[in-house]
Amino acid sequence: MGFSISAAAAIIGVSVLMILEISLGTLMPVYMDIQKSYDDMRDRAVEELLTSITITYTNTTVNASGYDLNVTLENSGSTTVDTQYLDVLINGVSVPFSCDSSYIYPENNASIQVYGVSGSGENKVKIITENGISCYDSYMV
Amino acid sequence: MGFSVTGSHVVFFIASIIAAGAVSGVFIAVTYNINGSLSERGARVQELLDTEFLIINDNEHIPSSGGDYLFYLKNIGAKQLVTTNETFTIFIDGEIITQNLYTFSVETIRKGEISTMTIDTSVISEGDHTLRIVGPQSIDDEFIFTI
Repeated sequence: MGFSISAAAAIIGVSVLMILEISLGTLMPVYMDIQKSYDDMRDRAVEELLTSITITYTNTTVNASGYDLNVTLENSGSTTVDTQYLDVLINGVSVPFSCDSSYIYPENNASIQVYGVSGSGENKVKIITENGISCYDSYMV
Repeated sequence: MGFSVTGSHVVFFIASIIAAGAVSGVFIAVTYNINGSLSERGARVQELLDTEFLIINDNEHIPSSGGDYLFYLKNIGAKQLVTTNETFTIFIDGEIITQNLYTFSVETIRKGEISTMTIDTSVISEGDHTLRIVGPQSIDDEFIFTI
């Protein structure tokens, strides 16, 4: 009788060890992945709070195909802005542009050129950063 | 009599082994199921944390082209975003828009990229409106604009 109990306890004990091994092996990677995603989300939220851009100057040059727009963009936040992921909207329409630097460091400026824009009168330009922070400015042609 | 005592001990031993084995088997099977569900749940939570997008249009200037209004959806999350009629549901002023009335310019956008969403002009009248776009894992963004 005593041996039966010992044998049953040993079998259940081994199965408990197997359960722990299976659970840890499966759940630890899931936990680590979630932890990494949570850290990334927190970093994105902090970066959004620290990101700020301001249009300090706009200038237009009229030519045969409409006008060229030159915008000076200041990084008024405390994170570096990657100009590769900027978006420029003129009167709501996304337009291709070129920028004189790849990154805008805090307190620095960059010059953005948009060529061959059509339209006249009062226009509005909106610039959006990689994380969705944006700024507006109006200009006359 | 001696043999019957030994026989009953053997019967008890075999019965206890079978019972312990059955209990262990049930424990392990349940553990496998729970771990599978937790893994799936974990993957959904991870997708929830990684998904983030934004409508970046100018609220006062919604561009149009060929009978459609254009809205720019920017991926500001941590992973690639699938932009199709199946993954995104659109509401204008709380009314759901049927899938045949809106399209996306590209099916996937990486972090920082934009997808142009076209919505048939027939579903948006002149005036102020609220666009609500619901994406994977019910992540949503709301955008107030005027036509």
